[in-house]
Amino acid sequence: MAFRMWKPAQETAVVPGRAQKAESEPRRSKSVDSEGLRWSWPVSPDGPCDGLLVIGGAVANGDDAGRKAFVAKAAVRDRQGTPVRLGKTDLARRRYLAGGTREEPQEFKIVFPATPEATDVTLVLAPWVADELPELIDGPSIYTVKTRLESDVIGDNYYLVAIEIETLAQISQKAFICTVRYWDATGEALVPPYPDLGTTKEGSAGYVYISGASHSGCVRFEHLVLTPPAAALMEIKVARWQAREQPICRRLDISWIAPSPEQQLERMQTELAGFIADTARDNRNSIIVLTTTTRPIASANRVNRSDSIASILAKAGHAVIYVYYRFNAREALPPRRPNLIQIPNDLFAVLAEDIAALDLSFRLAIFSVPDHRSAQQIGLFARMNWFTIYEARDDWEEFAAAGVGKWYHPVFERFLCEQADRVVTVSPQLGQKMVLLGADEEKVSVVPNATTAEFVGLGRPHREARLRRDPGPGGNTTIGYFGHLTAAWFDWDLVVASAVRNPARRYDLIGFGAPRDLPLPPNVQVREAVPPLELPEATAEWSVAVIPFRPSALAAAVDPLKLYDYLALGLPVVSVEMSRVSRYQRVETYSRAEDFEEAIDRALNQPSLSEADMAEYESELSHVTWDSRMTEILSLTGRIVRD
Amino acid sequence: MRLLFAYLYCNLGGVTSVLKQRLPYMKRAGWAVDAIFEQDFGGIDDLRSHGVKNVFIRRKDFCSQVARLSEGSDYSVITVVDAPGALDAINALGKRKTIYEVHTPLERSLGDRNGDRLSECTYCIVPSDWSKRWLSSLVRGLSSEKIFVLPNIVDESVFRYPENSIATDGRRPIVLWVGKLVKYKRWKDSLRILSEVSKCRPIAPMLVTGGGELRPDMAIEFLGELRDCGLAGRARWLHNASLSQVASLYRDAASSGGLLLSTSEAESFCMVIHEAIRSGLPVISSAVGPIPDLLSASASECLFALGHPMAAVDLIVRGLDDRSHHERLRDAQRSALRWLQPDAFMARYLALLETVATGQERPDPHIQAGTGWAVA
Repeated sequence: MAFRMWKPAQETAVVPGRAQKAESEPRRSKSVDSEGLRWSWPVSPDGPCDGLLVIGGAVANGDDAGRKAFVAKAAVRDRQGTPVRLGKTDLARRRYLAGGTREEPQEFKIVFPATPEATDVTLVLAPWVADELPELIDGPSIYTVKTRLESDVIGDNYYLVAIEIETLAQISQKAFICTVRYWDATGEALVPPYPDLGTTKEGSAGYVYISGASHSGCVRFEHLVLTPPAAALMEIKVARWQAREQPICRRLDISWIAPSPEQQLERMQTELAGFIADTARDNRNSIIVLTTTTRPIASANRVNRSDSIASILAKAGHAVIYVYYRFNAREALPPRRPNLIQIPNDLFAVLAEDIAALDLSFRLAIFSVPDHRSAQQIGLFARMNWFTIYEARDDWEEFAAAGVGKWYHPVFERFLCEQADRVVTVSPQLGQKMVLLGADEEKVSVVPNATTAEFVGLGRPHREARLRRDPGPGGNTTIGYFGHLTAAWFDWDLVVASAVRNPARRYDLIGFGAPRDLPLPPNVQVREAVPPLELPEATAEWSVAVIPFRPSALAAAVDPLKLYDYLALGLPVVSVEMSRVSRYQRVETYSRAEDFEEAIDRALNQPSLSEADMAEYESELSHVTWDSRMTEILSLTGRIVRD
Repeated sequence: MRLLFAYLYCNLGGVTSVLKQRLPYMKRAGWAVDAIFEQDFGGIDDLRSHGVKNVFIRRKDFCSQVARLSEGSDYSVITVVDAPGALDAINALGKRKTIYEVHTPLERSLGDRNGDRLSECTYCIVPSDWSKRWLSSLVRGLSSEKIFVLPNIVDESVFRYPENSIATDGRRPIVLWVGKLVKYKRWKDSLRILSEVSKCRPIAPMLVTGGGELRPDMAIEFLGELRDCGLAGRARWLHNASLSQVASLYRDAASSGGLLLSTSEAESFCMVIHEAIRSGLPVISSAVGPIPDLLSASASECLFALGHPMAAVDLIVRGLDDRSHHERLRDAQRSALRWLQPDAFMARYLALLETVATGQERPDPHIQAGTGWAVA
């Protein structure tokens, strides 16, 4: 923090701003003399010795008749009572105050360098020409601030310099400059230029300008610096640009953010080497690379095709390299998992050649990001005789048209279709599109989405209860949905209109990305996403599950993951016509909005299943797990590998 | 002694590679090298691992940053490559211990034709006799005494002759193009040539592009052209391949009975051709820059005039069809490189550096006024 709690003598507290005044009113001495109102603060021996001393307050003229002028004068004395110079010649600092009213008090701040010689600080508020004494509305307060900060740092790392500077009304100049210096561990100054900073003409320091709009009386500024490799100590100093007055820093921080990209790469190389060594030690003979558009695999409340497949492959004993997408090279790297290492796309671009050179008997690279990097990488893996698959799991062209996936260009997807050994899609529609883009028809396979065997197991009691239950009289009916709630494809108009028309039915929507401030009828509830394995309990009251996507080319190509989860829970499903959802039992589809409720009614009235139908349902379910999909994908390579 | 090397692009090949090849010699002679670049295309770690002590990337005010760095630090020699603005900034400081190297024979490497800029350098270095003639003819007032010819070094431990002879396993011969996706490399010509060849012969076209991170718009243009030429399903594309990967490709192409195609319109040395020949891969090239001098012995069988892609197609087809012709071409081109002895040239380079650093009499008899280093 830039504020330093100065404790002048024992009885005086520090007031770092108006907000804390009530709690820590400074115990000061106050008197009235011929000059005006006088306050004094004793300074303890360990009082302010660096930074700035700030004395501030707000005054009114005593009545509302007119605005009279006053003078605020601050001075410092040493132990012997001798005035201490505050500048080259100043024995005191004055501020002319053009008066103020109770409603609009005149604020003042007097700033001077803190000095170890000071034993006593005084403030005098005196009238200018007139006789009246000013009325003090706020303060006076006294505190110290720093304009300079030293911090231990580690070389070749990112640090955030955060600064907040008061923009005093009395000073028109609102631009500042932050100078930066570094020293190595031996105390030797490092010579600029420094990364991410300008360099002063004399070449003695790096600098960065601070300017911008003032908010709440402050200019806020953050700047990311990359410390030079040998840096051990960093100093930042703030000054006004082309003005003599010292800036008042409310905040002056240096905080560590992340290692540099080079260090991250080094760390990732080490991690990768360890991963490869473990793979060799465990006699694993297969390695699979998956490049994805998704975030790292974590315990977040979201699952997707890529991380599901990666997890299943790793669980089955394959060494899996999961390439996730990150937008910021300063994001922390995720930890390794058993048989699975996660590499951000930017580092993978650097490591791809080393990975492609790995010599295992089974090597499969699945590219599912049709971007310029995949287009560059697929040739590398093909050259090293990896089996390559382009996996189209969404209609990226439509996503890009909707503003998502701006990295997409059809030329990349075409190239991947032409270069890959096989092309896998999640739906027949996407398969047809890949053929149009240039993929040989014989090498295109549809491998739809799925759910996990674990989820199928957890859903069993709910599933059995639902499948054996005959439709009731229609008492507590709950229509449910879980997943992404973005208005880009979730048909809010349809759902809200349906809820309004059916006030007796509850609409329970679980997920993320819902539009803010959406007016909803009372029978529509939007809940935060829950962890996938908690969904069976969270949906226990549901009667029907819906997939009310807006009809579009995007939706038509989708194979919604939630369909398989719904089926595992034994829920009758109502979905907009898409992909091949209607091939599954107990799925009702609609193509026009006006048919939505009719489809719900049909779903609600589905009869219970016979034992034979139950067995068929279970059999069908056993084929829509990721384990089953993994087998399908691996069989495309002409070889199924199981460790 | 310390040397600062200033160039625009920090990547895995080209000029950065030239520096890397010199580093072991410099290190042995006691030189510590720092390097400053305007942009990084993934070459920082590579340079550090090759022994560059500090690698600075200065995207903003590159030229003035070079000057500041050279002023603030005690460099014995400052080498600027193809960056006239940076040289101007150093000249403005009154420095005299500078070497300007011209590796890209385009006028932009000289800024303008003002000889004063280069005259203020202690020496200029170019990689071929042709480049020296080119530089002398373009820059008025630049004494030829100041221009030294230092051929680039090819790492022979990486680019080595293949142990295997041409395979007869029926696989398609690899016809390789290696270069940056910049206009003067005429990469679009290469696609058209490969397209024409692939219409009449079963080849495996391979395109190896370099020059660091490829912008998406460039990738789109490249892949669009590839598709328009009907090569998207047939050609393999590698981007930013390491030297060892490229070397292994040359050897594979050589053993497949393939060829290297060079379509560039401006070369001062053509490292790619040198690497390919040393790897046993015969070259079909545009007749530009120093290449006709280099390949004079087999000129009619491997050189085509710029802007005549069908001539290139004919030369490639002949090289692919006639095994004995392919071997003759390979052997003739290999013999043309015999004069290139890295140790000898590097000894002269180190002597030159010492001369610049100390300002003393030139210790090497080859460094004499008016001579430079003869290449052949």
